[in-house]
Amino acid sequence: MTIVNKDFKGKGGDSAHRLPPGQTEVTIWPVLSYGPNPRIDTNTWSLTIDGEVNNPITINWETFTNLTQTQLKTDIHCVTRWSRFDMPWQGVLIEDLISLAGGLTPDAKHLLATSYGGYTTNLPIWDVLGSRAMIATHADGKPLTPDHGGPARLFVPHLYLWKSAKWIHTLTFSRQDHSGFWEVNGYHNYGDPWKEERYSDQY
Amino acid sequence: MATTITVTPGKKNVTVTNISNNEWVEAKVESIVQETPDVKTYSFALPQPAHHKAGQHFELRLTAPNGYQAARPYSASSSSKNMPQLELTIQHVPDGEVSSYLFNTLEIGDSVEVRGPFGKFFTWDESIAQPILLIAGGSGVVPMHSIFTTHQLSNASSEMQLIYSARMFENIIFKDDFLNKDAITITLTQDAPSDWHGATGRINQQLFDQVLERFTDTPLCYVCGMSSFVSVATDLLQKNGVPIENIKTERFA
Repeated sequence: MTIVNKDFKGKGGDSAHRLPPGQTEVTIWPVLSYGPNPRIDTNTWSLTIDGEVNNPITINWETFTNLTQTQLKTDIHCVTRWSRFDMPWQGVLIEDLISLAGGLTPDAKHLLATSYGGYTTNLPIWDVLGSRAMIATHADGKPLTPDHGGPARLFVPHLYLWKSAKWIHTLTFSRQDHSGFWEVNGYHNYGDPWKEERYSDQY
Repeated sequence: MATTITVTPGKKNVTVTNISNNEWVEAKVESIVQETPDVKTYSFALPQPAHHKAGQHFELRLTAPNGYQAARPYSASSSSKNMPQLELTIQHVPDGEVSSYLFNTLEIGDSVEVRGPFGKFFTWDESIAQPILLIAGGSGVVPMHSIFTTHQLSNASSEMQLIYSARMFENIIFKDDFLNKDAITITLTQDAPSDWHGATGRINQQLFDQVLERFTDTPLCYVCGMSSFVSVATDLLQKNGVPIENIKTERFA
């Protein structure tokens, strides 16, 4: 039984149909993270693609920023119930990075993303192929600030934003699924905003 | 989903119903305490005790007569000890869809829906033996109240200190529990009464020197507040030699 609050109207409005269930539109960009921002210098920054790829590689900032840039304009959704519409993002598609690493092996089924500072999150590979996911360096036409995961973060806009690991450092492809940081701390293993996959069903 | 487990101790059947934390339940307002001009603590009666850990959060949902719903996450302020009710301490966000309704319309005896508890990271229980430093800005002190009072009510012998930054005296939440406590350092950033004996100004090295010297071992640190406050606090902690893995943060916009 749902409790009806008879004097509650809420904002609702035209944006409601674009919002996944239970979300509210914001025009600001809130900052959320479980620990301090790690200090990252692009002179020593690197990105490693390893695990179930044919030629594991580690690339530096210069190599990374010279790769083909892709732009996306998309809505973003945070599990803390805010969504932002039509945000421009720019970066390198995960698919392009996989190609650089010689392609996936037939055993590649899952991705574990690891950040500077130790944060991890896990995704099925389908969710990072095509134009579904990138390593982003720019949002709103500007380089990402450290608060928002700069210099580079994973960006997977069709899932709740905790999947878009800030300060990305390593992409490890594997046969088995290994739960990441929030996934072992009570949040859903997949995180589809349209299905409201916010929390795991136990505590 | 609700799982019902029937056990048979002796001859009598006892039914234990376990409600999942993902299931919305009715929460009836039993009391409302005006903590500050824009913060109230709501005590809710639930169908069964919430059994949250100190520092966890719940979601609160409102439903309009036309079916429109809005939900927000709120930290529990209640201790995880001996607490049959759930207490949520909520700041009124000007023009906030949910908090405005709670602040201006919700009365004792009314019901809303809640589910939870959620979050397993920004939590404390007595299995954590390390000394603890809690650092809160504004309403970031809400989960700290849960952690601090749970620590007090436990048998924990570990050191726990709280640094709490509030704007003015009238903005101090939980005055009854937090004023005049040796383990609590309150700093007022905007204006302090003439008889104020606590600290003043924004958190800084001097304040951290005073508090950190009370620890013999490096504390595990919990920081909660606006993002900018959390950044300043975590920078100070790291400058004072606290390793990044000893710092837990919770930020709000």
